[in-house]
Amino acid sequence: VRNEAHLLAQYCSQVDDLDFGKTFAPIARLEAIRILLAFAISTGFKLYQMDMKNAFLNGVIQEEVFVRQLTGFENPKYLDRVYKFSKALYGLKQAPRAWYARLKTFLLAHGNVMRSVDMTLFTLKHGNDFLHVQIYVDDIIFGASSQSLVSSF
Amino acid sequence: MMENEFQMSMMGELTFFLGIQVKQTKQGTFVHQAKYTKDLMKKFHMDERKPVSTPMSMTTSLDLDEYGEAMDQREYRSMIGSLLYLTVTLSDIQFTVCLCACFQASPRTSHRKVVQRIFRYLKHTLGFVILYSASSSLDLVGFSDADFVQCGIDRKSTSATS
Repeated sequence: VRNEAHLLAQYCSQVDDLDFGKTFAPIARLEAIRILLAFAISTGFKLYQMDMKNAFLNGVIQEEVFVRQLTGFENPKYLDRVYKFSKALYGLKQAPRAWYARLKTFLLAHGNVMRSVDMTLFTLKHGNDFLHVQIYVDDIIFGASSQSLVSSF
Repeated sequence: MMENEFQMSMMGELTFFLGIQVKQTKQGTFVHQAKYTKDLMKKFHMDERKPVSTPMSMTTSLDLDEYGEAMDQREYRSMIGSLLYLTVTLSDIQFTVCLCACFQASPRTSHRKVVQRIFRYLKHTLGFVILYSASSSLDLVGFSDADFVQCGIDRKSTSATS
C-alpha cells in the first residue's frame, strides 16, 4: 500500500473577479478522437499516447491569488504573512484553463498550428510529413507520417 | 521535445484512453470499451443476468407511467449517464439509451426494466469490437431518418435525438 498526500487549494473560498476570471478550458470531443483513429489507420500512421505528470502544476495563473499558511506548517518567523501563487495548484478554479494556455503556447511556439474549429488539435507540417497532436487535458495522443517526427516530439 | 519541457509518464503506443481500449494492427484499428462495460455491470449488479441478443424488445412502448412504482432517480440517472458514455463505441444502443434518458425526471420501475435489458444486451455483445479497417475509404456518408410525430407521449419528432 502506498499513501499519497496532495496539497490542494480551497477553490470554494475563491471570490469571482477577484481571485479568478475565466475558468473554462476547451476539451477534445470524443467524435474528434474517433475521427483521428479512422484517419490514422486509413492514412497508415500509428498513434501514440503520453500522459503528463502533475499537469496542472505547470499552469501559470494570470490573477493575483493568495493563500494562508497551511495549518501546522506555518513559518514561526512570519506568522502574519500569506503566500502568493506564482504557479497554479490543483484545486484552483483556473488551474485547468491555465494548464491549457501553457500547453497551447508551448505547442504553438514550436511550430504547431491550431485551426479554428478544434482547439485541441494541433498539426505540424514538415515538408511532406505531418504530425497530429490531440490533447485531452493531460492526456495527449499523437501520430505522424514519419518516425523521426514522432521521436522528436 | 515535450519531455524537456514537462514531466511525463507512460509513453507508448495508444492502447487505453479515457476508458476506451485501442489495438492497432496492420489490418486496422480495433476499438472497444470492454473494461468499462465490465466495471459498469459490477457497479449496477447486472453481472448475474442472462444475456439477450437485442437492446430492446420489439413490443416495448414506454410512457411516463405516472402511477407506476417510483425508483431512485439518482441511480437511474447514473445508469443513463454511464450508458451514454458507452455509446462512444456502441452505436447500437444509442436509440434505446436516448429513449430511456427521456424519463430521467421521474423514473419508474417500468423504466428500470428497459434499462436493465440494455445491460443484458451489453453482456451479449461483450467481446465485440469496432474495426476501423485500413482498406476502407474516408469518404463521409450521411444518412437521415426523418419522421413525423413519432413520439407517442408528446407527439414530438424523435429523429433528432436518436
